[in-house]
Amino acid sequence: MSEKTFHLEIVTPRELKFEGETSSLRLPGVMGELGILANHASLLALLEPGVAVYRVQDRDHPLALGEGFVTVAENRVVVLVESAERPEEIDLEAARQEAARLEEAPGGAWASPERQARRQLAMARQRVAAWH
Amino acid sequence: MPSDRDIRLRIRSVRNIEKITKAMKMVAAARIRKVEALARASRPYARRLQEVVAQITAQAEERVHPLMQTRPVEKVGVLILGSDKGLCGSYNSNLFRTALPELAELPGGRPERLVLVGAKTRRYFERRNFRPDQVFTGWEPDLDLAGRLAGLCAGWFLGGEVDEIRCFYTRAISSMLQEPTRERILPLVGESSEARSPVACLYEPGAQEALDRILPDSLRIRLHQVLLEARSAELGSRLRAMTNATDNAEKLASELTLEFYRIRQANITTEILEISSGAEALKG
Repeated sequence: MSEKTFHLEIVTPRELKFEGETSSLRLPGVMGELGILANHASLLALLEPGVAVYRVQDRDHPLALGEGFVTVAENRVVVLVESAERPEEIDLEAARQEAARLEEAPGGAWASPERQARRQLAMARQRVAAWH
Repeated sequence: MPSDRDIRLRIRSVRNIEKITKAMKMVAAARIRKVEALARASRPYARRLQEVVAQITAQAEERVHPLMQTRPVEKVGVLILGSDKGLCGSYNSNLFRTALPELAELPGGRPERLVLVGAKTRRYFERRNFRPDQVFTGWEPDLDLAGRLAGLCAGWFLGGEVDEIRCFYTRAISSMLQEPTRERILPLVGESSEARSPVACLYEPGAQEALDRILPDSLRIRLHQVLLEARSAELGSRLRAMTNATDNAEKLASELTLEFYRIRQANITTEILEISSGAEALKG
């Protein structure tokens, strides 16, 4: 199948997580989910913690992303995020507990933006860990 | 003249010191490799972030973000990155000797805000009656510390408490060569936008929000690079100091061993002389 592809790089301050050709990408933008295909218009978007999915040769790969942003220019997509974890790197039980703890803590999950972000990340971790 | 027993004790203590310096040398060498691996791992992000910053500042020519605003410099904030522990040669003293005269030349004769990193840094500057606003000791060159430093710097700069922030640290030119340097951390400089034709670009949610997020991040990443550089210079300096100390101990021990043999031989000769002259006396 000759699907159009574009170059994707997913980078965190600690490592280069992924670099290669992909056919599609979904990202958790601050204004809603972003879907990116080849020949996307130039874009700079902020991302919130959540689940990203990129497709390589008809296989979807999920990642739990921390905060960050994405730039798109001439079929090169660069995702710069605080953290990016594959399913096998996530401790599902720890993520569950983290989410529950943030939910129960005084002030609730929406008390501060940081807490909200951490909760979102914990939820994303759960979803990515349970991916199949 | 020292007895052979004295010399034997000295040899033993020199050998013990040698063991310690050798251990410290090996620890420093192992930690350099670790810091260098960290630095390598952080480089792709730093490079791409710089690209993005260059790109958006080129496009947003007329908008100058508060973190990039240059003002007449009347109040200067200073960051000094030294080490927590000694035994690293002239690492700290070289840096402090570079920084001290420059601090006196600042407008007002001293920094308006001062952040000291490292226990040695604190001791040196507090003894010279500097009052730091923040001190970080027991530090590791991680993103957490970089984030906290970036937060402090950005806060002071945006609040108008300082017009510029300078950082004194040591660069590792190679594992054997370190050099104290001074760098301006704030205001951030936009890359000159030569040849970069502004590409029309969509911003989500907006250009201002993007800059508000990305510029503080680039400040943090810059400081992280600086911390890694300073730590790697510290370890390089320690490695060299400990290598020299080990070599010296080795040399001293072998000199003392030679001395020990000489004295022992002298003692034996005297004793034989005494015995034989005693025997001679009995015969007569």
